[in-house]
Order: sequence, then C-alpha cells, then structure tokens
Amino acid sequence: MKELVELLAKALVDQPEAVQVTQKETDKEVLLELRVAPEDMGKVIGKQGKIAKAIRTMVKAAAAKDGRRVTVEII
Amino acid sequence: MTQPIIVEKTAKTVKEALNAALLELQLEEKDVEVQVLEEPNKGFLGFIGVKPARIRVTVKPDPLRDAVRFLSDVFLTMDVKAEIIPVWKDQILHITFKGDDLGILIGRRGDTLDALQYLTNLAVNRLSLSRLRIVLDVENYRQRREETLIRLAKRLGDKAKRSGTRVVLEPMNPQERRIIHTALQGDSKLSTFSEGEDPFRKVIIVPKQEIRRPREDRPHGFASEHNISGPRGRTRRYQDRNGLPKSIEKDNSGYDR
Repeated sequence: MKELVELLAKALVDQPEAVQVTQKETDKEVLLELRVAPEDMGKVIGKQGKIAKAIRTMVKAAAAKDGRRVTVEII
Repeated sequence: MTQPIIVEKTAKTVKEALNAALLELQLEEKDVEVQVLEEPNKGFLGFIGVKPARIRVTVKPDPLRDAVRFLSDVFLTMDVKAEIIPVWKDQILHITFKGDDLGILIGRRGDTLDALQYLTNLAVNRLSLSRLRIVLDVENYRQRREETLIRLAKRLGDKAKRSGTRVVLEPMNPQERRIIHTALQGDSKLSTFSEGEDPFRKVIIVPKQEIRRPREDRPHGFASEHNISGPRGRTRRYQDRNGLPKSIEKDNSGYDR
C-alpha cells in the first residue's frame, strides 16, 4: 500500500524526489501519511479533493485483500 | 513543468554514454533522440588530448509507453496480474485489461476503474502539451455497463410514461448520466434532466404529459403563476396536495390577496 501511494504521488508531482510516505499500523488499521513539496500539494489533492479521492479509492482497492482499514492522509 | 526529459551523459564513446543514459531512464534507444555534443577524441598515443564523448539524450514523448508503464507499475504494487492491451481509436487511447479476478480493478460501480483512469490521464498528460484522452476498461466492463444503463433507462422511461409521474434515478457520474440522457433523447414522450450536486447528481425522467396535467387541473390564476418556474419539483408538490383540498384553498386565498 505504501508503495502504491508513493508510485501514484510520484507520477503526479513535479518534484518526485520530495515525495515521502510513512506507514503507521495497528492490527486493525493502516495509516499512510503522504508528504509532497508544498508547490505540489495541489497535484495530489486536486479540485475539491478529486485527485486525493482517486488515490484513496485505489488504495482501498489494493487493501481489500488485506482486510484492514486504510487511511491516507496528505500532510 | 511541461518540458521533455533531457539527460546529458559523458563517457569514453558515444555508445557507452547512450547506454548509461538509457539505463538511467529505463528506456530503449527508439524512445529517445540523441544529440552528440562533443565527439570523443582518443588523443595522441591514448593519453595526450583525450576527450570523452558528451551526448544529450531527449526522451521522445510517447503517451502509450508512459501509460503502459504507469499501469504496469500500479499493478505490480497492487499485486494484480493483468495483461495490458492498448488500442488507438478516434484519437483516444483505449486500454483494456485482461486477466483472472479483475473485479478488484473495477470496484463498486466502476469506482476503482474510474479512479485509475483519472490518475492515468493525469500522469500521462502531465509532461505533454497536448491533452490526450485515455479510457480504461476491464474486459468490456464499460460496454456491459452501458448496455445495462440503456436497458434501465428504457424500462424506467416506460414506467414514467405509464404512471405519468417522474422517475428519479440513483446518483451517477457524468458519463453514466450522459448514457441515460442519450438513451431517452429520441423519445418524444419523455424529457430528462439532472438534479443535485456531484457526486449525488441524479437523472430525472419526466413524462411530457406531467408538464401539462397540473395546468389543466388547477384553477386558472394558480396554475399560470407556477408554470413560470417550470414543471420541476413544484408541479409534483401541488399534485400531491390535490388530495388535501384544505392546503390548496389556503395557498390559493393567500395568493388572491
């Protein structure tokens, strides 16, 4: 999941080297924190959060097998 | 932001420099344009005046390659095994996935497929000047869905005509709403429109008779006043109140004053 968020974010931003994803997990939940360069914030959030929503949808699909709740936060 | 990717490499020979650049870019020779900035010079006796080759490698824009690479990377991280089949049709890049158990790529009502399609379009168009449209599909899912929606539209259209009342569909995305509108466009007894805000915007099918009926039923002044604002919503409300004559009288007297 972490790799997926990283891959998606890097494909969207102008500064892929600034993309960072940290993963915090408990037995029931996975929290992924995405950090990008400040200028790239719009590229991972989008108008009305449309891009962020698409990223979350993809992560949710990838996590379906895993069975845990996955949250993606953009920081 | 929209510049092409350029890499400069220095090596003993042009060939070596090119190989180093291709390795770095993870591309093949056909994907790039090579410009020799400095020819190598072996020098005199191999040590005096030795000059390395310096080249500039420009990545040729190729949306198909970018899209396929992006998608195969995504599938790798998602642990999905799918064959990626790209086809150009009417200036649109159609990419179909084939494989077992690809329901995960479709999601609920195509949510996941739409998200992946959106992200693929963004990722591929990020570096190119022209905007290319990419449509993703899993083994005819979209076509099947379109057929289902057309059948649904016809069925609910018939229902609206039979009952003389409007039919409200469940929320749909713009593409799916368009399919419904188009399916009923040719029906002279029906009209369709959408109401609400995305992502809850829904199609409403209205029988044309419904538009006229309240006008005939109502007292004269009453009907003409409200017809200005069209048949939506209000029409229905007043029809419902037909069963409650008190409220109609009340409205009416208030209006006469």
